[in-house]
Amino acid sequence: MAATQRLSCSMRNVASRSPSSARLFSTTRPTRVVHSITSSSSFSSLLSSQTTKPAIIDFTATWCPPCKVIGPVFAKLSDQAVFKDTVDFYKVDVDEVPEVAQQCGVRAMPTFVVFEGGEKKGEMVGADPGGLQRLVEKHAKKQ
Amino acid sequence: MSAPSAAAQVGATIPNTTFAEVPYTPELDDAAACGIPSQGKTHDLFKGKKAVIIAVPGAFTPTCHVKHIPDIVKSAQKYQNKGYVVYVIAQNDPFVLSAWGRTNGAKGEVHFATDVDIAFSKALGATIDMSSKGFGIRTGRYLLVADDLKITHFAAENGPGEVEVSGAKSIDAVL
Repeated sequence: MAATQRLSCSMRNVASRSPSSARLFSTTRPTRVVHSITSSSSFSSLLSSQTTKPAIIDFTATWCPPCKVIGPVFAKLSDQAVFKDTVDFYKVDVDEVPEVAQQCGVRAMPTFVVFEGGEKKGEMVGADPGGLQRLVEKHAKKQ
Repeated sequence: MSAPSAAAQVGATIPNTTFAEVPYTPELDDAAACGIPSQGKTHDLFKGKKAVIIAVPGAFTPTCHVKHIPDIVKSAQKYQNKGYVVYVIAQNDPFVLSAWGRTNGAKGEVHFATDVDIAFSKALGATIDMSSKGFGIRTGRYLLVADDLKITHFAAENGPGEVEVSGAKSIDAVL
């Protein structure tokens, strides 16, 4: 959470909410942030939601150095105007919600998984900023 | 080493205990990612499979690191071609074993896994007390070959510094 807090003023509201509260998703949530998925039920809601917008999830761990490097890069991507209406950005702390990490077959962090219509459509393992940018661009909903 | 028990005989079913492993991905090699351990029961891991399991007292320790495991990693493709999955197990935690495997150049062809609570080795009567060296109780050095959970070969070294019956040459002779 610390990495996203430093990035921009618009993130302050999200950062001040308790990170451990389970949040269900609604269509009126703000964009341009990285939402934390903090429970299995939130994750299930995401998968079964009717949105056609792709979701990219950063599976991360607080103790993992490559995650600390790529975290701000991911947050910056979520901030870009071009992705505002075309991709939703999420993150999962694998220690906080290990069952979600296991469900998605995460074996190393960071792993970025793209879901569309509840199905896994893309994945990337490792802190590669260029690769991450290409993954997001590839799956961003075509306008 | 403790005396091998009846559970370590040819024809016996391998113990059903837990192995923990940080699975190999190429991103671990250049520190672009951190692995996390996953656990599996030995009966799930090896059901319906031919397995070569080599147990060693300690990752990076002299005999294991110099005389034993490097040759096995070099030969692993050969064992895989014969249809075997290859596991090196030890008392060390999965993070240490993952690093050791990669130091030896393993790229997933050999699994480096923790014998959790050394339960597998205890059940086989194949542990060593290395308290005098400050290491505590470790797995012994042994070779176990199994086919669909049934032991087809078991050989334990007499002492922790020996690689007479569990090295690459011995595995070649058995498979």
